[in-house]
Amino acid sequence: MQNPYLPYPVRIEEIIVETDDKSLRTFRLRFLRPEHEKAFKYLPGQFAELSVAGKGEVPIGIASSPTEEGYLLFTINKVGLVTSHLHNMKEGDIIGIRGPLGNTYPWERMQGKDVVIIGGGFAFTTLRSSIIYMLHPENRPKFKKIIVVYGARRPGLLLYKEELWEWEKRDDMEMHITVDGTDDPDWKYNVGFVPTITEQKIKSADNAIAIVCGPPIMIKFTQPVLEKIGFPPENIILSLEMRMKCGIGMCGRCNIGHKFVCKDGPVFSLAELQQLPPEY
Amino acid sequence: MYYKIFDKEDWINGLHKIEGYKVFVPVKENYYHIFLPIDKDITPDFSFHNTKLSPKSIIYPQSERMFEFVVDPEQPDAYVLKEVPKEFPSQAVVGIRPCDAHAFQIVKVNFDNPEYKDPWWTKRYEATTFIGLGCNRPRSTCFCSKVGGGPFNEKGLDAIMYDLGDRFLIKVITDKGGDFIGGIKGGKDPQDRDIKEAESIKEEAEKEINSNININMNLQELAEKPILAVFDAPIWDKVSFPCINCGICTYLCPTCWCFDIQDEVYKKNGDRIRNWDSCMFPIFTLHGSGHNPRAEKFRRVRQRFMHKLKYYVEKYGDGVQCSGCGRCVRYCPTNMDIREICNIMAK
Amino acid sequence: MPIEKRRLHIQELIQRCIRCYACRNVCPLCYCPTCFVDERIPWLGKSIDPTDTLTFHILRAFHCAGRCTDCGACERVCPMAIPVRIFTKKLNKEAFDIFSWEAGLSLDQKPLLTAYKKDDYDDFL
Repeated sequence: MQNPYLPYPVRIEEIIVETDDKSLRTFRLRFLRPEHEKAFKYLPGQFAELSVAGKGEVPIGIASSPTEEGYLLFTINKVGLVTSHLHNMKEGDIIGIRGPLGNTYPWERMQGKDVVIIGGGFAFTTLRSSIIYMLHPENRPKFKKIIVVYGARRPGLLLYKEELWEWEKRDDMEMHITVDGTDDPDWKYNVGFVPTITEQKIKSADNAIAIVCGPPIMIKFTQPVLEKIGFPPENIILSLEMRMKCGIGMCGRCNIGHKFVCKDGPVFSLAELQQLPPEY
Repeated sequence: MYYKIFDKEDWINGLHKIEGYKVFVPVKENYYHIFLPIDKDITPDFSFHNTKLSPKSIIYPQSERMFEFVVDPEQPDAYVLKEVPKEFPSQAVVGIRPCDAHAFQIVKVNFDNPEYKDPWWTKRYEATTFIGLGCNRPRSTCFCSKVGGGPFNEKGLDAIMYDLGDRFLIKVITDKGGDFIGGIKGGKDPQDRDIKEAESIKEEAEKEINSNININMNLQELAEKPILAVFDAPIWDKVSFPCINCGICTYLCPTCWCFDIQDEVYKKNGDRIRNWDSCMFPIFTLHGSGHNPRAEKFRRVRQRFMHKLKYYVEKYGDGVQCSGCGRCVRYCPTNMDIREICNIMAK
Repeated sequence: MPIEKRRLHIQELIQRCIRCYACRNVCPLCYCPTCFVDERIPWLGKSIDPTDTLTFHILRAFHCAGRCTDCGACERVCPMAIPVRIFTKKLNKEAFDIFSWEAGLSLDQKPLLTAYKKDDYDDFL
């Protein structure tokens, strides 16, 4: 049986600097062997462990959608030993990838419903994967309205800017881009915190599922807004992060109560989280 | 299932001579016993209560090389991880106590589940034969019978030895055990009185451990209390006060399994190594961003006991994640007792 | 003991160390917010490689040098009965021989390795 700790080798094809403070870079990875690419079947919401030989591994959400074939995208924030090393790497370097790990957003449950996506800062990666997956012609008919609210502290910190402008123009989805504050006179979009814009733009919770992904403080203020609009806890979906090592539910590090964030998560509904001890 | 009886000397000679197995026996070193591979200079000593370190390191070594790689950009396969070629020769642990063997069953669900199998743990476990030694005199810190075990319990064992003073009566439970016992010369068929003597020793031991007043653990009551109620109870500050977060309990415990993965590089070669880790250590859950959900000591202590007594039960539906060996009770430098804490949690 | 035999002797003594860090946790002087073994920069490996274990014990002894009062908690708490004090006692002896220093005798003393007097033997600390 395949050793679950052994990473597939991948090559870095392209590195794009996403934010103006250079703390976030998107890596495009291509598998070295086609059989690995075939084995790596995933859905939006899952993550993979990126392995840098000599430094360690980091769990990163997959930013590309399974409809984008041939490559994988990961947007990585520079925080520590492994991510700093990754940021210093060049195109053509080899790293390893293990996955796909974790559970996905509840795609089965979301069919036939409105999908409300709320993201903040650099947690938008798996949400990009979800949006591209839903907008694909094969999948778009499965969902009703798609409403996205995405905000960052300032325009320079927004991820995937080109794609955001594109989505804003589309008529098969509502895209609300916001920043906390800006001194750019040409800023065309909203200004305000994500919870505030959510309250303004999301009118109804009927037949809708909300996916929320962002820094803990944003989640803390968005959650009451969603409850006020009428979302029950089972229809609010969150994606958590934890320190992980093995990613397969064996090292015992990432547990919240009796659930492992790497195996039973990282996607949890608010109803599930309320049953677990608040230790995250 | 059948019996064989050996004189103690024949048994020990047989262990030295048996072929095809790497045999681990309890050996006295310094002031305590540990399991070591038998050698011509090593004499097994079966008159011990229990080894200091549990035999979990025989199946699950403290440091295990997982992969190797080169970090030389000149090489064609630089930075690609390759498995370290390993062999898993047949081995046997002779003299393991029933609590430690039961512990392997408890740990197995973690490393061997339908979604993922840990290759090294599972292969080593399959290659090992467990010949247990029943406990004639359980200690004051033993509480195996409270957590689903017993001084002569057969869970996880391939054969069990009854110490009859000058002879060992071996009860063979599985084929693997039979293969091992068959390789030891000097085995005779026992007489009825030997078997009766063994049965009475077993009854005495079980009576002794059940009459030990220290082991009144309210596991039933604790199982009925919901997880959040125990988690939020105001008991944890007082319970966790003595703990010094040293890690002795986790490293000596046969049912603890948490590990860490580290890369170590020397010049152009590197290894990825798996080491034991402990939830008691402060940086166990430290995020890269600096946030640590269990920064305070009482959270880590609470995590350990909740995991052992509640989360494991919730997740796997079996008994608690404890086999009652008593090592944490005996060797904790600040005298924390899981039995006492279980009762405080259950109140 | 002749120098060539010392390393072998010490390696034998710490052969059973399981890196549980009980000696460090119980030591009254080990109060670093982040111990050097937990630092991001890998000063030493985390496995039970004998060289790494030796590095841990010797480095810890040096970090406590000049402050250790020989309370003995480290040796008492060790689950594998390792004579942890041989490292710290040797450094205490050196401190006494070279600097006539004994830690903990008075509340006003500045620790050995943090104070510099004008009539010190060496040019700098």
